[in-house]
Amino acid sequence: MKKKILCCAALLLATVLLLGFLQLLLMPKYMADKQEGALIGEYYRETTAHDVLFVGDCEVYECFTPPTLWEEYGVTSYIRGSAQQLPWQSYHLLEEMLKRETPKAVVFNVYALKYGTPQNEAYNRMTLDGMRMSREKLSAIRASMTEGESLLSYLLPLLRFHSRWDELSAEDWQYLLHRDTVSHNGYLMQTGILPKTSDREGVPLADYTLPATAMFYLEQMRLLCEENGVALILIKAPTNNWRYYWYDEWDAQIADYADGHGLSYYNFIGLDGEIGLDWSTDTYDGGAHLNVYGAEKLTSYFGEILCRELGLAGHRDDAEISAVWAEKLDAYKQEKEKGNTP
Amino acid sequence: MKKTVCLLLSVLLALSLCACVDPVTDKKTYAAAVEGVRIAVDDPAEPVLSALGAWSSYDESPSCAFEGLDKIYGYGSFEIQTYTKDGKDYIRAVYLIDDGCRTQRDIAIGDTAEAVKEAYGTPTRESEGSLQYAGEGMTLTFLLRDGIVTNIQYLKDVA
Repeated sequence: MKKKILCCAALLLATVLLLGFLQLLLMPKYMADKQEGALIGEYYRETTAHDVLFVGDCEVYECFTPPTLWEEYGVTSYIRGSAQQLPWQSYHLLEEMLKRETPKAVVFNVYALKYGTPQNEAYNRMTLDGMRMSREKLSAIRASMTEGESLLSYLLPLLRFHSRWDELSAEDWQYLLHRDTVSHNGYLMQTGILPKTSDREGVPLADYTLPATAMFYLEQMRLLCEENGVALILIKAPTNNWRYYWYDEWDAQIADYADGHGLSYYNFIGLDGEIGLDWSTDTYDGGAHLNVYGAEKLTSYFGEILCRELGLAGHRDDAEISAVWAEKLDAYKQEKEKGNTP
Repeated sequence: MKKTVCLLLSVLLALSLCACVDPVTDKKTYAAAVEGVRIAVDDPAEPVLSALGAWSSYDESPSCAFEGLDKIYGYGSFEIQTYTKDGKDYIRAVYLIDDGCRTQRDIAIGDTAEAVKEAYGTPTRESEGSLQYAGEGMTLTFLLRDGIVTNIQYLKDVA
């Protein structure tokens, strides 16, 4: 009888180990390709707290560089951004982060407030699979699932990715048990240059009202920040191409919301002269996103606003923090010098 | 016992086959037809673009993280937007932007909301600024100002 129980236990353990191994192997690694999928998980590697946390879509992780904020102002920051990060995902990520640390400010990029419903599983995966298991992750999954997706497939990603067996590459084996760091405190560097050549505007919409669901989560973020004594700052990145267009009607709604709740809202669209942006050199994809040269200019400009508004004095006198950030800044400069243009 | 299992399996199979039948078969009739070319959302872009010939304007934009470009081709009175899937371009949207084009049911910019309803029936959604007709995976939208059509859009729904 005892032998039978031992056999069963061994068989069960072997099955669990095999499934665990298969899951590690078959899950996308987001190392060489689609590095955006690796961003969310990198936050857990942080060893020191931050003055400022950014949340939002690509307009945060492509437009602001934490190493520049450190170098110029001594301000510590982290960008918890991901591709097409939806407002409910930003909220639950923020919930999770504010359990771990209490920054002076949270900066939220408002572009994703145009979305009122779950959009796309591939983007969901890039945000949600990187989160550690928590109540916040479960809530984020429930709020994000598109038709046909299941909670179980997020809890056991093997159920979703089992069919990747015929797409496995050397990368899947190389990163079976670890991942490289692809970002600089959440900033995904792009050093290429592809000038903006079009000023085409977005197509007219049937309804310019920002979705109630999106505004609900903005309100939840505001309340969460208020409860934690953290300033919430709203921003709109300076990028504005026809595909990802920010309409004046949306802007007015955010400005009203910010005004009504005593929040700061900075829309950087059209401030090219003040920021120093040059669309012939400061974008890597024709104006949809900034490259590192544009991101540094915007960070420098916004850093001054942050220091003034929050009274940040910087941490250059703190030896421990300075040592951590010296290393980060070095890695950042090395990648910038090396360049990553394909 | 075997008979019961077989019977149950047969019933399940029959039910699953029934579930695959879409009772709505002709909703995708909301397709634009310009210069004799039918343009429907989600159709491959290449045959359409070839048939239409040279475009007068062109813009493209990358998507965040994923490969492929969204492209927009201008032809004066109308524009076609495409998306990339598995390396191939498909129609995402068609925009009729002036009265040089009419819909398949003979509606053009400048017509009244009443004319739209007469041609297309009761809209799926109606507001002061638009009349919307849901198709299969797409929506046909007539934008209105003071009850007059100002823009017509055949737009792919979010997946």
